[in-house]
Amino acid sequence: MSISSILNIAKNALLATQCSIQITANNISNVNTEGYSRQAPVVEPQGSVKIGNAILGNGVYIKGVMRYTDKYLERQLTEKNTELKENSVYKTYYDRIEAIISEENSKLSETITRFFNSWHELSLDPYSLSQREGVRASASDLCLVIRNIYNSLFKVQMELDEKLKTEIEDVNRISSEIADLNKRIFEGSSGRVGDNDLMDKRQLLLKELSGRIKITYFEDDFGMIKVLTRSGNLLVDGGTSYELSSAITDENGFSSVAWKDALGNLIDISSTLEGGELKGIIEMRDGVINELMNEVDLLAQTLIDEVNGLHKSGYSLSGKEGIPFFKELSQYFAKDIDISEDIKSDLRNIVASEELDGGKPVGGGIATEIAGLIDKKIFFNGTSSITEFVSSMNNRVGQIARGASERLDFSESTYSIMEKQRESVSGVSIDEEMANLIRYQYAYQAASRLFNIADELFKNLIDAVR
Amino acid sequence: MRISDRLRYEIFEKSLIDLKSELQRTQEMISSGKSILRPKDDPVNFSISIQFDSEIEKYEQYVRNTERLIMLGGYYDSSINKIHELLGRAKEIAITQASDTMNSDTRRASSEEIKGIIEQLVSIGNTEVQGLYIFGGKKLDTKPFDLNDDYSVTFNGTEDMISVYTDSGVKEDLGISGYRIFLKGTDIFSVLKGLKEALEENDVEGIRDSLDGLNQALSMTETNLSYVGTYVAKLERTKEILELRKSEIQKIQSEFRDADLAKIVSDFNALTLTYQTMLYAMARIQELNILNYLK
Repeated sequence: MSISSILNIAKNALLATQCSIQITANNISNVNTEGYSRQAPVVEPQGSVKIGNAILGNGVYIKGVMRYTDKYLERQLTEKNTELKENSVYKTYYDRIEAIISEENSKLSETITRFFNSWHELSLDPYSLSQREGVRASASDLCLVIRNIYNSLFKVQMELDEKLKTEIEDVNRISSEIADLNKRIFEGSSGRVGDNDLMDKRQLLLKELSGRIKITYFEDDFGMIKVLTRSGNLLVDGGTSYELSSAITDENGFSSVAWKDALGNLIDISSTLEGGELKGIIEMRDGVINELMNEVDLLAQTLIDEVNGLHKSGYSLSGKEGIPFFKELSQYFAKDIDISEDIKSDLRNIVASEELDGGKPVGGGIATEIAGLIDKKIFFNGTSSITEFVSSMNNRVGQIARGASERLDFSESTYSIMEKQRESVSGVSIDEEMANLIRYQYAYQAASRLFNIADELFKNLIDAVR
Repeated sequence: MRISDRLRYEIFEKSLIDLKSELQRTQEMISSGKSILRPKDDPVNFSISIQFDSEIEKYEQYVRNTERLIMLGGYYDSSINKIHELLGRAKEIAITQASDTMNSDTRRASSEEIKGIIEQLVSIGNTEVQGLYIFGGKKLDTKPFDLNDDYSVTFNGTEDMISVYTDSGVKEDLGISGYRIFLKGTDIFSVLKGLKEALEENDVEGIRDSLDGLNQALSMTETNLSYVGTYVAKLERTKEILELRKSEIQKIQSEFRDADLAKIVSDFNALTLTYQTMLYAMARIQELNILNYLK
């Protein structure tokens, strides 16, 4: 027990409060940092000494820095993010598809009706060239609209495929960053006490990763995190990361999600994804868009077949038989639908008459029959007319887009509730930090006073012996 | 609950985004006048409204088709009236010239008038409306009646007609064939030719015989006149029904698709107010900062 031990206590106290102030300052500066968990000093009394019969304290020391985090909540958020990101892919792309199909934009039904109305006009005036011009113009509009819808859907499909590739690269980047952080956390710590900032960063990366692909993860005894896909393929194992690859493609040239093992063998895991953006992208690309493209194809094919069937049975203005109205196709009907070359080159090749008399066409029966197709139930085994077909396509797209929006709203709101809970535990409050700062400031001032007092005591002692 | 500073802003941010998108939707409704803007707003009604739009377009076309037929009906009506008048004149001539007081000179002179009547009838039979021969049956582009040197007349048209749609699944003849007007039952041209020849040959018996034919021709023409009347009346009725149905659909369409402007504008005002309140609250909460109270 000596006066110098007072100085020592004061020094330790200054050190501890300085540390605390620094931690507070760090909290304040990270008030808006995503994924940051607020930190607090853990102070403990320095071991005591026994002097005579008294056991005296020996001041304070910083035992460590605590990170306010709820691991259970973090895990839930990470898992919820998988669902949120998958749903957000659906919402974004269903909205796009909705905009493509929506009558408001595509004007498909309107163009179809106009096309058939032009045949009505021709049936009233079956020898007219100007009515034939009307038929040709409305038909080429219709072909354009159908091709546009099909190509726009196809473009979205291509875009999704591109997105899949970049997402896979992202997954690889994140996996390797996590592996890297694992290493740094392990190297910079002994056992479970790691670098808080690195752990925050790693947690944030896990959340990013889980938004892309559904994962399971757990922490090993060395504080390193192991990450696996749902199919049990390792993504991160300690300091090593495994890659996903987009190299496997299907017959359309679209990529699958493949896992690359240590030897570089690729294993297709597309069907086991269960969640996340990757799954959303594959579902969209190979599911709904394909179905819609097939429907548009069916529309085009039926239109070509029905109109051509009638058109070829009649006689053109120059008395020719068997002229197709639409270009005859054997596949990719919607992609390539167009007016036939015969019609493009000569308006008189448009057929209105069903009979021939002395080499001249008689009547407008074919025009009337083609005009009547609009009311014929020519789809789904004679249950739907062409307008009903288009309208049910709109209905379907609307229902799907609506469902996707609702699901995303739900995911967002549950996610944001959890996020609030997380913020409530880990977020920084300036008010709190300022209060702490004042607290530490006073503690610092008081500890400084200890120096004064020790100093005076020393002076007195020295004066006494002089 | 512990509220961190980030949370405090995020709550505002999220609510502001939601409000803004609501505001945007209301603005769109106001500017478009529609309450269903895209399929997902109301998929069922959106798709029904596509069908309705198409129905309306179709009805408009059927109305145009019907109007065209009605317009043609007018031509037929005046043509048949003219035919009746000419046949009446021929009958007058036949009655007068059948009398014993007349002689070969007057009869020869009258035969010239009958020739004129035949020529006029042929010209009626070759009436063109907008470039189409309306008495030609299906052969709208061929002159239906040829007057030969001996005043016999050849018919080049067809007996049946082109049919066009006047409603979904309902077809109507595009006019009336010259065959029905001039030839069916009684061949007007051969009756007149017979009369002309009897007059030329001063054949009183022949003149009297042709009177029978003329009477039949007149009564056939009267039947045709009432046929045209019924034809036009039926079309007028069809047109009325089409227009009625069209306006019914427009009414229903507007009920579920058009925006209730009064409601939307008041919604818009409410939203604007909420938005303003929120901005105000946000500003006030920002003022609540410990730094304002620390010196």
